[in-house]
Amino acid sequence: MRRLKVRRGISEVIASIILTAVVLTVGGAIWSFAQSATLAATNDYINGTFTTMKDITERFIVEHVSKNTDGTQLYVWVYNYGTVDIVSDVYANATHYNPTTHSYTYTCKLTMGTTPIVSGSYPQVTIDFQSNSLQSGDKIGIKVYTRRQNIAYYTYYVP
Amino acid sequence: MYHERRKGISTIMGTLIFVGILFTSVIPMYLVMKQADNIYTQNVHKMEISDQERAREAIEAHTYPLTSTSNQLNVKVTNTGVVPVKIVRVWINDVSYSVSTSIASQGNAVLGPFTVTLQNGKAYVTTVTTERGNSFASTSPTLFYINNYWFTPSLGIHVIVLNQAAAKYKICVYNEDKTWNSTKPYETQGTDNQDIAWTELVPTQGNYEVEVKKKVGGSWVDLPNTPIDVEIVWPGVSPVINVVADGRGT
Repeated sequence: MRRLKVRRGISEVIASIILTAVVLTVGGAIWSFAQSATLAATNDYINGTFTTMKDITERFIVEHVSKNTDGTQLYVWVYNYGTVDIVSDVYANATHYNPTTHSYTYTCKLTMGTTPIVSGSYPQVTIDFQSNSLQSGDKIGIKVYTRRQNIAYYTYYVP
Repeated sequence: MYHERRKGISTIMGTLIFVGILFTSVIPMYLVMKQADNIYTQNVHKMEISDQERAREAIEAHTYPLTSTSNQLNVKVTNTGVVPVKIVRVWINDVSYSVSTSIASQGNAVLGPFTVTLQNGKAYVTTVTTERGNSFASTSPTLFYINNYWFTPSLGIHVIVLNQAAAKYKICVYNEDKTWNSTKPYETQGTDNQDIAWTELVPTQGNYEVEVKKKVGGSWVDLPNTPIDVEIVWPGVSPVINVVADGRGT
């Protein structure tokens, strides 16, 4: 009887130790998971916020447009006056009116941006009109479309 | 008694772990997210201010050659807006010239001289770009280079009257010996709340007098320091001369 009483006490101690060990192990695992999960969530949130911030701080204009003498190339200067670098594609839609046939001809050209336009710079973008050269009186609708999906428009009349 | 003391230890451990998770993971996450939100809001606010300032930029640019045959052009820029502007570029036709000139509100600066390639029969169009991304075309008429001489289709006097709300003004320009005057004096309707701006084209260079009157009671009264004497010399200075009359105190 005395022996049983002693053994009963031991089992309770062991049970407490096991329970504590389980609590520590499971708790540690949850703690570790919580750390990783919150870190990942925080990083995602910060990245998302800063990406959106770059979207809204992008600022650029079509500063100047000209063409070469034979009208086979259109030059567009894009001025990035914002604080973030941008990568942009430039679309040029040319409308030519033929007074003899009273008809319009539309030509759409695109120059894909490959290098970033650094903040404060105004690089020249060349759009090729070799196949359908620009003529005096043509109206060109220019659209600069950045990878962050901001747009600047400009209308140019060929002199 | 012994095992009663140890009975709730795992509960205490669990609570400590929960509190630990709260303080080491959840609260820092919340604080960092909140900080990111603050930075975002600050930037949105900064961009709103920047856009408003950009919208408020207003400048007038006048281009003129140094002499009637010179290949150098000056651009006189007047900041007519309420915010200071920084000019970063001047375009003359398709050639850009980098500059870095700040002009306070209502101030002016002469940029240049810029060397251009002279071509007979060619028009020279100027635009000015500001740091905030505005592009302003030259206010004065296009310059032409014809038969080896510079030519501008018009000379003029730009009159600005600092206005008292809803006052009526009459502006008239005479030449020196009063043999020529504006065909019809410019008369405001008394409905303007902002300053009055009026440009009078003049036929030739020379001396002119700008008369600015304000209606007080039933009669026209000269504004203080008027008539204003103006000398137009072209080329060499701007083809359009700015003069300012103060209509607020009369």
